Amino acid sequence: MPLEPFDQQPVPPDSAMPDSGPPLEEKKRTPRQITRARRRRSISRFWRQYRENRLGMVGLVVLAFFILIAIFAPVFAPKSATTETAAAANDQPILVPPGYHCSQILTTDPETGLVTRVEDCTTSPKVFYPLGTDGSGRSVSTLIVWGARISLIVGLVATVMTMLIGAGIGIAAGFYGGRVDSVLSRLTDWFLVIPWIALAIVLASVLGQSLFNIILVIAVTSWAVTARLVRAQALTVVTRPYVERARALGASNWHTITRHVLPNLFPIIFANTILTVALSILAEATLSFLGLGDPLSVSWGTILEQAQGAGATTGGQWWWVMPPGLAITTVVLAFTMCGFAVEEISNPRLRRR
Amino acid sequence: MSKRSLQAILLVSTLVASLSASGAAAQSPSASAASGGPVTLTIGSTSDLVSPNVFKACCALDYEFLFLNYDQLLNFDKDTLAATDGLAYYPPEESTDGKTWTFKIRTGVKWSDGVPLTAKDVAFTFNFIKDNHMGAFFNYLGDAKSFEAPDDETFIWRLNTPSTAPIAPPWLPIIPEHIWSRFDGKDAKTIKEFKNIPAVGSGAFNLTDWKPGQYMSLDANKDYWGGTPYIDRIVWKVYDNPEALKLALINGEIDAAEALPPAIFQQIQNVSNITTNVSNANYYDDLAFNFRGAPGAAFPGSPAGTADPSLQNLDVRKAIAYSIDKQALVDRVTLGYSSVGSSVILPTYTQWQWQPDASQTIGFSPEAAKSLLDSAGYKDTNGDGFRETPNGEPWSLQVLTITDLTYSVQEGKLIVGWMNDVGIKTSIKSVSESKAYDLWGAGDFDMYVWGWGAEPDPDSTLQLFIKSQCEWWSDGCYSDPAYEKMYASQHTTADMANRHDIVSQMQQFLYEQMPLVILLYEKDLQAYRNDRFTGFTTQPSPVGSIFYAFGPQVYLGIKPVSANQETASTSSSSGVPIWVWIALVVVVVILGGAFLARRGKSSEDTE
Amino acid sequence: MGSRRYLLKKILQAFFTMWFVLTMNFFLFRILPSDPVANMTKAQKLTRAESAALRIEFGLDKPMLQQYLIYITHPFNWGLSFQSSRPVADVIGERVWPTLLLVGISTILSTIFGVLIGISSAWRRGSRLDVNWLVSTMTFYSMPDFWFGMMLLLAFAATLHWFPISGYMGDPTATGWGHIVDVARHLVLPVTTLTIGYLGEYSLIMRSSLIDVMNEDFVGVARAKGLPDRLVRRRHAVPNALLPIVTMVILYFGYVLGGAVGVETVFSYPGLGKLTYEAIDQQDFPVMQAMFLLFSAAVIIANLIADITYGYLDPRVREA
Repeated sequence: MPLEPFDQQPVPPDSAMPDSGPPLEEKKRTPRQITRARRRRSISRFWRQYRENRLGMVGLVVLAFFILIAIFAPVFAPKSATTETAAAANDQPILVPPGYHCSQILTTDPETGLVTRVEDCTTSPKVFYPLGTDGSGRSVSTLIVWGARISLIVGLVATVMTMLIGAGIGIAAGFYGGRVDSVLSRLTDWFLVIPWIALAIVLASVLGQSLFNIILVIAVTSWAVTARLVRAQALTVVTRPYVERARALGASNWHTITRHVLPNLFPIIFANTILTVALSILAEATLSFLGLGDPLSVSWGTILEQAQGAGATTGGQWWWVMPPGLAITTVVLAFTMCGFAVEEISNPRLRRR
Repeated sequence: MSKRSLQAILLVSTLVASLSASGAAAQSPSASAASGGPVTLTIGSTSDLVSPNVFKACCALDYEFLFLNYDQLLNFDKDTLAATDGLAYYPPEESTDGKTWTFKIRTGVKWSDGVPLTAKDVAFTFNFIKDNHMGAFFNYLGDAKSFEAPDDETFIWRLNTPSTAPIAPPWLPIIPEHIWSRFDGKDAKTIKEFKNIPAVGSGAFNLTDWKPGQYMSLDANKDYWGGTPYIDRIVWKVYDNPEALKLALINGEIDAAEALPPAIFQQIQNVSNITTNVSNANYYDDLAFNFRGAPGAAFPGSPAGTADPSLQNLDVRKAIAYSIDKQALVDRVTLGYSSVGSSVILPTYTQWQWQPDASQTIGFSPEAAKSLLDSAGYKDTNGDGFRETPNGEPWSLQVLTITDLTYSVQEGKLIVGWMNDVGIKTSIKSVSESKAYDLWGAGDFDMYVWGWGAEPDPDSTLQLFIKSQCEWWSDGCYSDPAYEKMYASQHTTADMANRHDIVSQMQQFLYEQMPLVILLYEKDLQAYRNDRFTGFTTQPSPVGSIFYAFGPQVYLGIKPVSANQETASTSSSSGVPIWVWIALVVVVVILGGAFLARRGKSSEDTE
Repeated sequence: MGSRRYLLKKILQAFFTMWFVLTMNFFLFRILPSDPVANMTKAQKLTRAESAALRIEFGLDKPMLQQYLIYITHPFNWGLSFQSSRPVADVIGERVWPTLLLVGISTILSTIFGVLIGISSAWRRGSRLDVNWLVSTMTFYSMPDFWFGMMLLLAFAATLHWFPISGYMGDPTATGWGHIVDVARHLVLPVTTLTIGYLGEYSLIMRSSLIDVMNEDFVGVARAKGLPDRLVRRRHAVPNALLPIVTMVILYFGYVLGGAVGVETVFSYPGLGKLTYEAIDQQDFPVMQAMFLLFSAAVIIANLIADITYGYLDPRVREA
């Protein structure tokens, strides 16, 4: 992982979702109903605290905004508008800054061989490009809107995989201990020690470059950090009295894990998940920028890759370079702020005294 | 604001200012003549020398070095690339049966270490290449019987079968016997391990230093038989990527740049102190078809593969060719810096290239593509918008592109779009170059978008389509008996005019039979600082390359601009508009100001 | 257990991890599907006989186990690069110093600034200042580091012309003070990019670490004793909060050594990150193996140093 969530310390037991205390009504209920009521109260309490966190709310709003953009992408432009073929068919101008532009005419000087592109508004209509066009003539705003889908999906799916593997291994290591822990810890160590970029490049080389593979690559290079975190936390939970009691009473491992261990790990896993999404989106951007992403799909990272390859940065083509990076920064920032808020709420050590 | 932070800010700004100031004064190694130092021409490139060992030459910069450091038996004419005087005089004596060629070698030439050059070195070179089967140059020897030098001025080339190889001209360097004879009888591996620095040669320039990954430098040979160069030294600097190359040229770190990609080249087109040159490159982009593993194209010993059987049908291939808008590829993928492709021989080699006339040309016509497919039986029978095979079975093709090569992916995407538009269900697959080599080797593809370079002699290109090159250089193992006959006869004729005719027929044959579709001929984009050097010409002329060394002729004409100047680098690119920067600065200032104001209130650390 | 046993235990663990890493790395490359010799064959127009000879030369014809044994018993014999036939040690050696400069200076700067900002932020937790710093550092943390580099390029290449925008040095023949200035100028932009990139991370960690510590009893006690805030902060809170930072920085140094590929690409800086990328791209086994070895070793050693330092600074760990 190039960056790690900024709080790696395991959280002491008090961080568990606080029980809601005695029920407000003394009505008779089944245990399941009681649990569900408690959960609901915990969630609403959490939400109340979250609402007070300014940063968290800002992050949530921004996130909602981008998710809406991703969902409603077809409203802005059809998917075909992101292809070079469509840009060629519509004779869209190449590398124009934001504004109204017509199609370009190419003239080659017969003596020098130099090619000049000139806009010709006599034979083609003026079209508005809010963020200009890229090196293939595609509207940058269209690319940003459709790129949101890829970046968000890759980020989310990769995170799910990371958490499943990481939390799974972390819990197993912490819960079973002994030989199992030893082996799993070695494995985790190797994945931590190896430079993530190098591993990513090797995997991309082996698996080939596709959307699913890049998700896989991110998950494979990220799970170790989560595993280590979860393991450390699991170790503290596992030694608690009620867990030992449950085992003494003959509860199966599965029951103990799902009913006792997991709920206590939930807050740290939740906070870690949000921050992992942020990092996964950054990872996808970096991998795509280095040319390891899916060459046939459009993500914010691949836009930057193409821009860099065409010398847009030193060529002054800021409308091609700035928007994708701003989009990435904003989305990642939103996730970070949300994760930060969640951590502040669930980690009592960060609370004020 | 506390005193501490004020001091810190002052310190940082002074540091920044001094660094930028000292930078402006710093000079790059390319000095002008008036300053008294050696006149150095610094050329930037994105490729590096692979090795100064003559027999490891593979790529662009290796050939630059080779044919400046060493001489050739015959040179390429500067304007036409025809054979002309080199170390030997042109034309040589030809025996009536075309099998024996006698050359007169010029006298008074010395190697860079002072040893005189004689015909014995020439004979040694040819024998050495022949005996050790030195791949890259072996092909120029023809069906050679022997090479002799009965005296210091005479060189005799004997062939078993007549051919024009001796006057092609043979593109190989003449190496010194007294340096390389120690490798007589050794194996190829040992030969290739020789460092060869400094590289003893007789050419116009001599390699004196090479720092891998950084630069190589060649010193001028003041006693060169072809004329004394005006420049004292040439330095090739290696850059990581073309953007860095462009920047180096603009700010004067280098005097010239070669092999610039179109997008970057466009940005320096109109800079006053930069002159650009557009020439035909010796590289074409093509869509190659695979014939392996499909019934009907099998020849004895044909290896297995996974080519779609429909590609055997010439009408299908023609339809695909009709569906491709080559002009759009030229305009949008290369930004106009290429020309529409037709024959397999490049326009660079004007004396060999055949061009189809208007009636023969297969241009962009989706209608022609559709009607061809209809008449070939590939119709859309189930109304899903895509055609089925004549048997009614589902039909789909795949175009393979190479991720590392941007042109391949960009052209591939457009071609796939156009093929789908005429009803051929086509998908695109992009793999790394190494994986592509694997798939090529296994014959596991339908079509791919790739490219080939070509040497001046058409043989290197024409041999791509013969049976014996299957599983080696042949793209898809195409084979045709008529073509094999033509290839054999052009390979073994000693009559230039006859050969020219056969080669033209072969080009027409390939154009019509279409084992591949030549998409476009790339252009070589170069630039140099006209306020530093002048006297640039091209080879060939009038359209040709400055920095592609068929020989030293172009370099011999380059001279420094005499005026003493150090004009500051002018910014050519349009730059980020000022309002964007103002907006950013305003935002930063507001944020910063707000924060500083707060800070003043809760100052607990006045120390 | 005492400090010596702690030390021994940690060193032993490091060796074991190193062996494990070496073995895994070896097999990692062997699972790559492509044949490096095949690639070189096509590019350099070798004959079939020559490529067979190459295969033997690189030891690729030997059985896997034998290749492994050779590899594991000669960890420092890095051989010759497939691509350029130069000793791998040379190829890597050329890039070590530029990388150390870049990563070293960036780490130092981002640590210093990150820690200062983190302290300032934590101490005034909840105030406007804290929020401003939080947002700023989180923004830096969220920016793709290579993109920030591209923005700097936009600024300094397209408009201002204060600094060179690529490479490690402009004049390979410069010596002495001229050389130092030359390199320094080339370092400004890449170092700025990396520093800003990691600044956010350190500052956020420092902040939460310090907040953590501030909530501990001994701080409350110190304050109750009437000590001025400044002293409480400097003498009690910060040193304790610095503990995790120290280990973090050491660990990060190991990571960043190989991970600055994005920045190195944007600025065409000849670093080890880019070398790794190129080696894998060209399937240059010897270089790849050596790079992985180097980075893994760097991280393992960094871990070791971090553990030892932590053990030294925090006696509780040693006595565990």
